[in-house]
Amino acid sequence: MKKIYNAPLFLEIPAEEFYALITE
Amino acid sequence: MLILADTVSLKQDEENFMLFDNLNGGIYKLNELSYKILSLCDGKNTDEDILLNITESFEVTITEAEKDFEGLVRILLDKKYIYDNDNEKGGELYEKDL
Repeated sequence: MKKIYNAPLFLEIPAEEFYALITE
Repeated sequence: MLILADTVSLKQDEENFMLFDNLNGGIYKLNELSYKILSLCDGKNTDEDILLNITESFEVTITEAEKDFEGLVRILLDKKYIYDNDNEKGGELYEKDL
């Protein structure tokens, strides 16, 4: 079963956003 | 063939796919596809191998996959997050010839 295709994402994020992501 | 620079790290945690630039601290959010492409840049897979892997895993035409793949590779080469080791070898040979 093939997966739904989404174009490749490559997005720089600020460090604060990253820390929010991992702490959540 | 494309190879990941040793100055970057790839991390996957549940639904999050990330690339860390260990040289300047940049943090990049990836999705499953860009993570897969970067993971396959091991100096052994050809561009064709990577594209075949994509078209076998996702519902996408070869044309669309190739366009997106080339766009991503251009950005990554520009940032020196990946290298084309065919070109590097070519460069070394060229220098020896001089």
